[in-house]
Amino acid sequence: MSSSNTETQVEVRMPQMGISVSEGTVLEWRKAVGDPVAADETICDVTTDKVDVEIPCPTAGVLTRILAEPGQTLPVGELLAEIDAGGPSNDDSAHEAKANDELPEEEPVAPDEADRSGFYSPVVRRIAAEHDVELGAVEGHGVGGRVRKKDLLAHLETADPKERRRERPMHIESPYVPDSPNGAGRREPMSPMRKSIAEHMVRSIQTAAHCTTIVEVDFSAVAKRRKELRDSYSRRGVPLTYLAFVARAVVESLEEFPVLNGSVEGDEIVLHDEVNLGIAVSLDDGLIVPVVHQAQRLSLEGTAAAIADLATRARERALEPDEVQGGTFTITNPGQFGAVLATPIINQPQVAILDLEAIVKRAVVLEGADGDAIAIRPMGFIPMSWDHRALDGADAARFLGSVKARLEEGGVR
Amino acid sequence: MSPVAQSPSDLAGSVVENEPATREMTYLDAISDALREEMRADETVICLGEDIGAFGGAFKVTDGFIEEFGAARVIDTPLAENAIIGAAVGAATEGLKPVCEMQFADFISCGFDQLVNVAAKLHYRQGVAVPLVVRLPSGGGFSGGPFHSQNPEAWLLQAPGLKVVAPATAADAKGLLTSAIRDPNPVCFLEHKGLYRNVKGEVPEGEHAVSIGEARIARGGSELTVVAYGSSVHLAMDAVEDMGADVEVIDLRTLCPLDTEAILVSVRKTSKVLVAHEATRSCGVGAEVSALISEHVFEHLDAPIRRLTAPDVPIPFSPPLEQAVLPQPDDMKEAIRELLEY
Repeated sequence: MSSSNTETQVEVRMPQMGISVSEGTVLEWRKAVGDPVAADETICDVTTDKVDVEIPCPTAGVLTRILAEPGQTLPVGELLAEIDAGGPSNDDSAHEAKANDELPEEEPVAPDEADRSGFYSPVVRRIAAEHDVELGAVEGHGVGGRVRKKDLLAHLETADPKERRRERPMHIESPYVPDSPNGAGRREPMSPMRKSIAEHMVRSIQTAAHCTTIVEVDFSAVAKRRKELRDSYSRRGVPLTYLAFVARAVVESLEEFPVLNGSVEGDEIVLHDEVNLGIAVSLDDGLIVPVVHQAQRLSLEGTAAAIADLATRARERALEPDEVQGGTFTITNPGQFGAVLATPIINQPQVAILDLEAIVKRAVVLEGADGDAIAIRPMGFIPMSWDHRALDGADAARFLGSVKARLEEGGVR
Repeated sequence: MSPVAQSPSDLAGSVVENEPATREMTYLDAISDALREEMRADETVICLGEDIGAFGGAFKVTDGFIEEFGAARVIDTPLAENAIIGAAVGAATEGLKPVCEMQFADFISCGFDQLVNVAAKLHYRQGVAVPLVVRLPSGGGFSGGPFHSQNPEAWLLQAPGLKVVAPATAADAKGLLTSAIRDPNPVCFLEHKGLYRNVKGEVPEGEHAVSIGEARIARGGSELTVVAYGSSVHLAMDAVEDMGADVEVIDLRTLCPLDTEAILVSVRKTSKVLVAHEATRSCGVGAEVSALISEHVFEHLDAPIRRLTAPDVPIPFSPPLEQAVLPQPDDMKEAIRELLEY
């Protein structure tokens, strides 16, 4: 059946694939022009910087046009392909006609005399699969020459072991799946973002030799500076957070220890010229890491403003694609939720991720000229996971020591 | 709240049977024996029914009971099944263990509301146990016609909260009636009238209980499983014996709760199934058993599951017509033969 009715033409467009994705690149077409396609069948694969996506066919029909070659990048919403929904996939008559051509007309036969040699019951199929038996070779003695379970078992008894292509496995996976003691539960498909995070984190764990080093920092000096500066920043619309101080201290220390601002590529370590600082932002349904590009050029106020801006737009899902790319070092701060220690996973291909935990008041021992004293200080742990392929524990400790010193001496600008 | 109350014997599993002395008796005598033993052992057990006292029951199950236990415990009631079961439900909730006799199982329809809406749901609604037995003389084969020959089990199986038993042998008739009387739930006891005097067997004397919910392998075999209960067990056993076939016969004994494991274990072995009952076909026990097997052991099947039942028609008075409706020995043999050959 052919139809020129344009109402049966269905367009397939580049879908919106998660936040901040504006375009996708066609990887491969699974179907060619003229192929019949079923509804929801994958017609092509598309990749973005975040995730690879299978593009499902919106309707059954025939693929009539392909508008993007593999490797071609199209903006979201652009036409990818066209389907003729009036095609034969919706219409069984074509198949029937074909089937009728292939099958010669048969004389009607009484049901009991019908040839059943090609019919295999569930138990026969199962046993044949378990023993890898070619059922055509088994003589059937059931009604109409049907291979009965009995016939198959007799065949197995007498078959030359050499003819068996494969030993029966010691263990056969039972098709029976017991109900979970917790009930069936509710299943939700992973969002593209969730899949992307999952893939990225597992790859990182498998790639880098993760180690975590932790320093404890006295934030008294930072707290004092923050109190002095906060109101004036606030008048200019910039929230001044502890994170901004830490980010500044990290950027300064990265310039001092360039290996931390690097990445491993094969047998080489690339030391980056710019510090592109990733800031992990948690969202309702995932996590995204917008990047403060050329962070070494920014002052404390510039850094604070950039972080606030990126975080706000990340939550509004209004980031530009290049704002989530090109990071050279990442800071995460689950401490805002009260956590005090964590061992984060490195954001590949970077070599380290620094983690600002909760700043809480603790009793600490201070060493003074007149002897030791106990004081109440705002303290916080800063763990950093680093890649042992690129650096060693001493490097990590020296870098963290440098960050700690900058924060405790109040010298962050 | 569960629709079914737990009794100590449920929790303990099968009842221990010491090897007691046995006596040959009919299926009918075995029922009387169980009832008499329980009434002697437990004074809260009472009987209610039409003509069960002075007349000793239409089939003489309670013959001599009114003399032994008195009219207070063997109560002749008006011809009002709803009143019989309703009164029994009240008695059961107040601590008695009533055993109601429907003169014919067909008449249960008159007492249906009290049975399926009151007795079956009291435990679910209010946590109240209803230790009630309804004896249901069922089945045809003697020109009883459409009102005196029915097998109403499918009606009862659609009422959660009822247990339904259908013994095939004299020993099981005694053992299951004993357990039914002791069970804290309403139990429908289907006693096939065709078995009353035709089936005899060795029955343990004294106390004898058979756990509700356990099927019996009446005969072991490897090429086909016949799942049956009540009169159909005998139909199957006789046919298999005549044919000399390697057929397993399962006597379900209890229809609710169904012994699913016994069925599935057997089907995994034989891969072919015939479900046989005298009750009508649609939505019956055969349909339920067939669905159960398809759901759980589909990959073990070597043939379509087959049912041998009465067709969906009333039971005729006319002897030749009744024979045509009820499964006969030759029908059983033919079904077995066709499945074995398939």
